[in-house]
Amino acid sequence: MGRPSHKDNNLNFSKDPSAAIEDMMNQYGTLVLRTAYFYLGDRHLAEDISQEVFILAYRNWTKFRGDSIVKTWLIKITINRCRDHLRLKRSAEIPSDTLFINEPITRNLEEEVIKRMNRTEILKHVLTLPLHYQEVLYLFYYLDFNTLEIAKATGDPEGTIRGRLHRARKLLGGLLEKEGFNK
Amino acid sequence: MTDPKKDIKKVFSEELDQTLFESLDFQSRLQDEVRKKLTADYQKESGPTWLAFFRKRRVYSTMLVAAAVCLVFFSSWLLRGDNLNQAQPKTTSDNPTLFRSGGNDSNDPLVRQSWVLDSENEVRQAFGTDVLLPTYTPGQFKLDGIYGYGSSKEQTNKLVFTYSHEDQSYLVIIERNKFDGIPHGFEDVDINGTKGYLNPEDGNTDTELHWYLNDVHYWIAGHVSTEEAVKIAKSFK
Repeated sequence: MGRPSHKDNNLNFSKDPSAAIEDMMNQYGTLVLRTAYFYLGDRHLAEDISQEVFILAYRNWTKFRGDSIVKTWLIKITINRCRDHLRLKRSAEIPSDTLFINEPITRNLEEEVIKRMNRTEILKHVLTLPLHYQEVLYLFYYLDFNTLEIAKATGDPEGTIRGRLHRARKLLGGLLEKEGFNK
Repeated sequence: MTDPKKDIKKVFSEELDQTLFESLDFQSRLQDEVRKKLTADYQKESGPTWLAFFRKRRVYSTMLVAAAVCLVFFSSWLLRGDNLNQAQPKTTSDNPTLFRSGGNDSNDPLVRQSWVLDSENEVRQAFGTDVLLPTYTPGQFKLDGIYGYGSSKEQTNKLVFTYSHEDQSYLVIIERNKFDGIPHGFEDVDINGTKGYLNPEDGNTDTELHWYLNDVHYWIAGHVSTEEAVKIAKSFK
């Protein structure tokens, strides 16, 4: 199955949560699931989190003011839920080690996926970057978010995101250049 | 001439689709599960299915009122029997999926028994009467649930309070363990005479605040400002 459409228009979504949730699941279900997987690296957990995201979206739909597009709103909920989970997991592992705030996705991946990943041109480099750079590159390139949308989704100021994205692209560019990508 | 951004975007997206995200789709099975959970929530809030059916269709007629009166009468007659109060302790299956173990990783520290705790009394019974609990909740945040973790309910050694407001959330975590050292790079903050450790402001909206008291590690983490986090911490009683 290909990637779901990235088009979004708040007006297309019904005010009725029951109807809206169906459209949200159809249009963005896969993106939400994949985003949860990108953060957590665990398929079952990503499924659980993505279901929870839609339940939360349903409950909060009437409060959604349309400050962002629906896609950004859903991704924001997804990121928050993933971060909650990582915090909780970290609290169970090393309660006060702040160096362990996030964990690389590669930590949880199956061996076969890691093998395939090592054969990629760009992904393997992205996943070696610090986690906040991976995040911003994923949101920018894969989800097609601009810096304002990334800021809304992550809760970071847009200026911070702009700087972070610039550094992430520069770092990635350096790594790719060594391999002759796009020369 | 090719646009480098377009190339990177295209290749990166394809590689993600083919490598990490292969066959990772929000299929009808997952959609059905969401619908089931929403229906269960709805029925829980709205009463029996047949009543929800009428309510959904906005049949607020005299007939419904009359039916409700009859139902109350009939229910009170039934309630005289001993077939009620079959209260079962809530288990993990009632929990939000966030706190369920993920996958089959037996090393996952989240694979422990957990319970939903419904009241302050229940929390104190499970964890110990000496535990301090938050009494302040900022703004429009609402307590979603309280979960206890441990080898058994009587041996609960960790509590997690989840709060949310729209798409924001934060956690209050309380666990029994000894002082584990000062977190790296944190700033000291006073919590009612106890030293707390607050992550420095770096433009990030995430806040983390830790403090230890009587071999209990208290911490707050999530989308609250540092001021609110300190206020929550100081409200523990």
